[in-house]
Amino acid sequence: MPPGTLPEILGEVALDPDGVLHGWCWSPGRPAERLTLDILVDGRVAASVVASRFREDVRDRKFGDGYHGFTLALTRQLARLEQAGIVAARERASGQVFWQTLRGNFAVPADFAVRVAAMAAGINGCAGMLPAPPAPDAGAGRMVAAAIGAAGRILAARGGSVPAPPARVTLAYTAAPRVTVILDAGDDAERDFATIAAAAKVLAAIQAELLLIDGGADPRCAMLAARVGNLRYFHDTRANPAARRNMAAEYARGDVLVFLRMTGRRVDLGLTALEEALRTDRLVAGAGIASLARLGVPDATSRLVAAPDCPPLGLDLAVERSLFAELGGFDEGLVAHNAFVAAEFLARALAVQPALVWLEPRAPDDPDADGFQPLL
Amino acid sequence: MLKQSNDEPKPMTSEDFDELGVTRFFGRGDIGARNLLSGWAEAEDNHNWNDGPEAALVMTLRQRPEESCLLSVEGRPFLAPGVPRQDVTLFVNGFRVAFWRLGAGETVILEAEIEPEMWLIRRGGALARCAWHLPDSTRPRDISGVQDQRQLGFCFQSMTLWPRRQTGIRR
Repeated sequence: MPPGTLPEILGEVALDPDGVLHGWCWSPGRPAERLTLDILVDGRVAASVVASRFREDVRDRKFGDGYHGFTLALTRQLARLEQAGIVAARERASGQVFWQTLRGNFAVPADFAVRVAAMAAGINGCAGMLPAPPAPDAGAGRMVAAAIGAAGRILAARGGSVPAPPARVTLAYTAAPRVTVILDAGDDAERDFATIAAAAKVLAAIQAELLLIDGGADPRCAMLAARVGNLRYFHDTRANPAARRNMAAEYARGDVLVFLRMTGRRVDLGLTALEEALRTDRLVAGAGIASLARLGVPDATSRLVAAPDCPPLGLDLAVERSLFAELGGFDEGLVAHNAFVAAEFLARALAVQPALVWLEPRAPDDPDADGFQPLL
Repeated sequence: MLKQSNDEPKPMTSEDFDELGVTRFFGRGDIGARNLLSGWAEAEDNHNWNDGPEAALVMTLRQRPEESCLLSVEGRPFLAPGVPRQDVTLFVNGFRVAFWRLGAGETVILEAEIEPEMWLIRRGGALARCAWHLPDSTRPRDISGVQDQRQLGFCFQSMTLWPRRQTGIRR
């Protein structure tokens, strides 16, 4: 899906505990049409409905005339489910499944009770307790909970050895962000968290949203999605860096995309200054990226303008989303370091747009900056 | 005097047909603007009231079903002081198929079995004219101080024509 475009089918669905399914569905390409939905239970059509009920909230959100709601009782169909099943909503004309959920009881492996007992014994052992045989009538979940509770009490009694809960931070939610900061996760989740936490205030001030893209360098980065409120998090270990950044750009909502690499620096001052610069410039490049791009563009010097006194930021590129889309984003065929991919994009962009060069001071602990001495 | 037309009846288009197993809603969004014949009050957002002792609507299928279908209609009766119940009788193409006596002011689902032979073949499809007889329909104006002059009996909310295999109808 190109950046800035709407999906073919928009909709929301909720399945109540009593089996009543309700929601709405609308197509931006067929705004006056009442769409027909097939409701699938484990891949089979269990019911169909023409979404034509009026919903004031849908009308207020400018999705057609608001006559796109539906409600269905799936009690009978769901009662036939013996175990867990997938309930999905599919728009018939496009064949697009736009919602699905898991419903029913989860199957558990046959040796579940044995594994739970082993886990409880392990927890008891960690806390210095003698492994206690589980009570005959104890449920599996209750057994583990009791072991965890007992271990916690022992550790608390010893004083100071109970680990503190991980720090959390909540980013301000911006309904219509002007800037989307796309940050590559580094190889140290705690350092990444510190960077994000330090930037929270300035992100709110400049009406920016934050997308974190994680290639899996540190598995703990996955926890950042839970520790940082309103963080938009993308995890894909298989895609190359260019593909990950393009994917993030597709989901960005800001008019300007800012691609940063995680350097461990405080980025708050740099973001503030960059946002000021972006009020007049459509394209801003980090000094290292600009140096690389300059090697491949003969007349680049005339199209690169140095910005003085730039605070540290770890900037690769900042570009208007429309220009990014116009040039097709990063070249996913380049299996290379982010810096080379960004430099290749900048070389193409310079043909249509001069760039401001972000001359930030180099940091000795910034591996991405090493070797990319600005040539300006 | 009735005006006669020499025009041949137009064949139905794909948009004229209903579909088995697809739930459709009354009200302005769908049925209220398409399938109603006579005896209906002005369509509201998500429902249609009858207006008078008989309300008729039409259902059309591409072809006559080979087996029985189950017509399922969701709605609620008009009950008020002095109107303790609503008797509802459904006729399909003249066949009396079901009767309900509704005495609770809550949402109900009325279900009636429609046999294959009840359908008429018209204009390239199968047609069923559903006539809802609602003799207890009452004008709110007559029993309270409101100005509502409609003659209300049942509030129609949704309708599904289920194929036999999906409903488990047994013969």
